[in-house]
Amino acid sequence: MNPPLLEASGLRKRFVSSRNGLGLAREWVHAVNDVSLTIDSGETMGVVGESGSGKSTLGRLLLRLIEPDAGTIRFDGQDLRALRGRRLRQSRADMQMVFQDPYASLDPTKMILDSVGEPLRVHGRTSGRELEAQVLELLEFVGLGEHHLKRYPYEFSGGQRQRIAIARAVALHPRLVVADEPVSALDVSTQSQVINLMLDLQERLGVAYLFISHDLSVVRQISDRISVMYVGRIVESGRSEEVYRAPRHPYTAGLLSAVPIPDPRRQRGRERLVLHGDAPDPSHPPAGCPFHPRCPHAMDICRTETPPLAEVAPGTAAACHLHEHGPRLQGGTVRDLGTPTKRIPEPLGGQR
Amino acid sequence: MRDELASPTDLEEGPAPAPVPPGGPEPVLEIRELVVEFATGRGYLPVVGPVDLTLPKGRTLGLVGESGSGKTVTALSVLRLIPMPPGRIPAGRALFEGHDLFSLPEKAMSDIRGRRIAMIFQEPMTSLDPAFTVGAQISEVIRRHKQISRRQAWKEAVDLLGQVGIPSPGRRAGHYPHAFSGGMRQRVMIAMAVSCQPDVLIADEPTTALDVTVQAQILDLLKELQAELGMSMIFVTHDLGVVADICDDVAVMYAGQVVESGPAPDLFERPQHPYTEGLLLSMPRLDGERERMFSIGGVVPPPDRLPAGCRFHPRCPYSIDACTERLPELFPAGGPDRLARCIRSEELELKGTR
Repeated sequence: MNPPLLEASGLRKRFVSSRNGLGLAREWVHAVNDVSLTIDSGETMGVVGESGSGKSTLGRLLLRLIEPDAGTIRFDGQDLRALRGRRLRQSRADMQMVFQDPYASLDPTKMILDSVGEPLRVHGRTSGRELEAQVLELLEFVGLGEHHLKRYPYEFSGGQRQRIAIARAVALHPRLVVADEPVSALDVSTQSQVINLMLDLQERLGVAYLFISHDLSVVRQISDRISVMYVGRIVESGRSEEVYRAPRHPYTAGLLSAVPIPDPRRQRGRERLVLHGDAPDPSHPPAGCPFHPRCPHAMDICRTETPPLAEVAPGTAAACHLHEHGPRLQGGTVRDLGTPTKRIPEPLGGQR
Repeated sequence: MRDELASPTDLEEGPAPAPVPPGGPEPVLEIRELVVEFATGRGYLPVVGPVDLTLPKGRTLGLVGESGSGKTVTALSVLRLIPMPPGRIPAGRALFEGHDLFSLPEKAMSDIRGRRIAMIFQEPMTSLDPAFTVGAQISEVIRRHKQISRRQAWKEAVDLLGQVGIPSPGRRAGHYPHAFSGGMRQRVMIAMAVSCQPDVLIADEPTTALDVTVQAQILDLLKELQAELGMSMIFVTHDLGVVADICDDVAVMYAGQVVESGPAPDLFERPQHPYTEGLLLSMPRLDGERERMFSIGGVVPPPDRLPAGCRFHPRCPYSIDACTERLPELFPAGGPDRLARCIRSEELELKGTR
């Protein structure tokens, strides 16, 4: 088997959340806490989590947009943190990013030709007429045309801007694109256009994606494997179908059961695992497993010991004591536990 | 408060509710031929309308559409919350218990607003004042509409906070909005909105900014409160999953107009308008096959560049020449209580959730 394209291990990042009168750190938020993951060439790793789970910080760490406090990142076998100068620049060309807000990520004073052409120019790949021809090719890739070259961002809709941002991200034929909530600001009909575009590009260019989103249904559409984050840690990871079919962590099960199915007959009266309360404040995470205060299965050990992310079934890892202690799931899905569920209340009106 | 003069709003203790007629519950709110316009450099531009909607008593009506469809403007205009200028409502009526909200004097309207018809918004932080405790803000709303003492209002506020699921409400009432999480703030907003036991609650994307596990809690809370208080709801959302969860009836909006409406389960199963079909097909789903996603293609036209004929025809896979000629009416299609604005709805076999 080939080594993974990207291999991160033991990543940690903390930020100062409050300072004392001297400007010294008083409190820290552990945004990313001991995270390890791999991404293979040409695959899509989906990262899901709610706000404050650390998923965006993880994406930025992997691209070295921010420096980790601890941990290693190997890209194509090389230690990314040791790279300097030309080698670092080359690795930057191989790794690109697409952001959530297509309105903020394009320079409003630059024509599309210049925005999309910038990475080509900066990396000295091409210039002049040749540059224009390449930019045009990129725009055609993402479903835009020659008449868009000399336009400015304000002339485009949100979906078109996200296409432009994607064209720019793939301009240097990167091997990895980190996409942070790339479709969250878009309407449903536009969302599916952008996801299809990303799938097409992957097929044509063999690029790998780290696809970060809070929306489980969107992640499912695009990801080969997914990692579920909660308060700075990965609590479950595995093949996408497997995680959705048989969640091994109670948080994953709760998350999946909270997503409403767009079909009234199936949604209503559906048995649902209800998670109470909110995710904890990441600057004061609870001791032990960060999920235990909301977990319907919490045991004594969960309050004191943080479970490690360990393989519980072939290709699936979960950070949950249930697999080793208590009722001993031993790799089974938490749905087998006969979780306390609640029927979704019917709307009042019922049938007319 | 019985000591007021009989005003158009002073009707809450009317006769016992009439038995439900065979056609379904009586409407509590009816919007008729509503048009909303906004001033632009080139005169007034209609952004919504004409829109007709009926909210039956005790039911939840979902107003669904993408950005720019006019769903929020429609909801805001019911409470006359559209800034005027630049906005104006040149035509239409909003009938609430036989009174047209658009022709009430502002004084009468402000007695209805918050008390008989309440509203919650997407971002609770913009609707809560950061400088006052949540208890004070809820008491203020209660005292605006009821003549009771400060102490009594505070006690009611604490009860309400408990009712919407805020732990240790007595203590939390003395806290400021910043000390609450997003989900808890939305609960505070809901407590404030239901403080006067409104007949109608208008909710504008109340769960869009929340995490999905918190969204599920808030939707359940709204359903419980609705059962308790018997209120009717208008639920504005872009999320068909949320509609499937909470709405009895749906009106799908596109480019400022309702293109299809009907009872939710029936509308999802057998859509009568190609736009509804497109929306349903483009929803990413947790169930079913994982495959290449359907997409409608194109974008919603801005209000100053509406196409001639059916407003959806340039994006519609089924459009024919006749679709470009004139704007179709919203007419009965596909069964009881169903309406659609498509001249081909009878002949088309559109794909729904079944």
